[in-house]
Amino acid sequence: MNSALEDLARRLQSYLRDKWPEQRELEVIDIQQIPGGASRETYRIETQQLTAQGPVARGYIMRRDPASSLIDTERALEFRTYQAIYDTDIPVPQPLILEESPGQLERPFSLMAEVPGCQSALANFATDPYKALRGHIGAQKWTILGRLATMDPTDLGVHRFMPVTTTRQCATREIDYWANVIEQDALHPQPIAMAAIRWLRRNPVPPAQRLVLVHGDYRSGNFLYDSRGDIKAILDWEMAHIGDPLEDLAWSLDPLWGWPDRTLAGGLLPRSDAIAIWERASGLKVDLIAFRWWQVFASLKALAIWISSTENFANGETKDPILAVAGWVMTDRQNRILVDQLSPASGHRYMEPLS
Amino acid sequence: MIPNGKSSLEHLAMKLMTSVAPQTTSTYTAANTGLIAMLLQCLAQEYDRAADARLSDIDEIKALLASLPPGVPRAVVARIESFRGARPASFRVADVTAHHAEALTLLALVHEHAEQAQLNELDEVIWRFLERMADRHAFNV
Repeated sequence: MNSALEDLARRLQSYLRDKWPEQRELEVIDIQQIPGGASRETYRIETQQLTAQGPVARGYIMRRDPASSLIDTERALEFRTYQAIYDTDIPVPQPLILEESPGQLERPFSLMAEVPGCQSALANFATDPYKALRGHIGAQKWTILGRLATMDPTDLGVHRFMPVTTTRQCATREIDYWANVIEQDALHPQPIAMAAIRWLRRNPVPPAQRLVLVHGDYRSGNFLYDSRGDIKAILDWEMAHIGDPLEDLAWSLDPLWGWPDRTLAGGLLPRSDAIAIWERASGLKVDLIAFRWWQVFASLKALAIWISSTENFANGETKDPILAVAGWVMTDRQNRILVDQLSPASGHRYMEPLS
Repeated sequence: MIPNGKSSLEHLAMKLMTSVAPQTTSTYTAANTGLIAMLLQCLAQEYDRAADARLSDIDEIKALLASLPPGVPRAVVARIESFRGARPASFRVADVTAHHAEALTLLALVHEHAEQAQLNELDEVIWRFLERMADRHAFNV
């Protein structure tokens, strides 16, 4: 453990002893920064406390605000979304602490229970033993997303802290938001993004079939699975909002998440299989006109995030390499995907058209 | 000087990936080392083609803007004429990039006009260019 981590561990231990005085002789015995959290610094923490049965170790995941982030999001919204979802059959880690004051850890943070024995890496799906489990993982992935689309946001209580919208306005709100991100953050002209924004505005999407809690970043890499390929937790709800269920489905099927494999969505299943699984679980039928709009939107939103990360890397305080990768490699790929979707002369190199 | 900067940077990326990353003890540092190696590979490709890719885009856009359809706003036409006669201030990448930015801005304005005026042929020509441009700037990593 380096000195910065030792210092963080010491201050976290002090914080947790104040927060959980009932946990006797609580000690932070290990802390490690882990990769994957592009919008927050992510740490795996191990604590030990005394119980009547002797010392007990527990694992936690802490997400702390960085100096600048890939996605400008509200930590409170994400934490409250975890709380709203935790008691449903959508698997998420147990949310424990939301600390919004900079205080002892210098920046706001949240703490969740660790889901042990799991991983999230998308790269695993290309090789055994996980290659053999792709169908199993994919079936769960799109079933869970379909189940999410059956839940009423009001019943979940998310309407109390998320902007309320309508079936007609939800798409407009999203395109306005992300078009503005591109306008504000682009460091170089973006003719492909601009053409996509104009296309989305010229071709208004049909109203949503129903309003649901949209995860906002539902993709391979954002869920935890164990060695049997069972999905144990859906992560990264920081872009969650109320909207059209097709938004998450289209995002999950963007070719970027399975790159460079054109045939397997998210590196797991053919797109048509994923859609059929989602339709069964959600009870909804995919409207192809609406879905095409949401597919173009998904690619544009992703491009907006990459453009924003470029700006963050160039002008922000955080020089995390993931920001530069997103701004360079991802921007390149997403531009190619958008051209593939929108060009009248498209050869559909990255995604076959749905019919 | 090292004449072949591209392969030199690729060697450094490989060194980082195969010699440095495996020696790191934290998964976070190992992941960052891998990302930096990937970025070095990108940099190697960009070092090799930066000026050529931008100047090829600029040449194509100038050719595309040589015969404008009717209805393009006067202010845009004047800007295009000025741009078509201009050259980058130097061949330093920053100067070529600034000239490239003006080319892309004008292209986007003409593209928007083509859509509004339903000039489908021009729209398709511009999309074909955008596809070539996206391919030209693609990273092989």
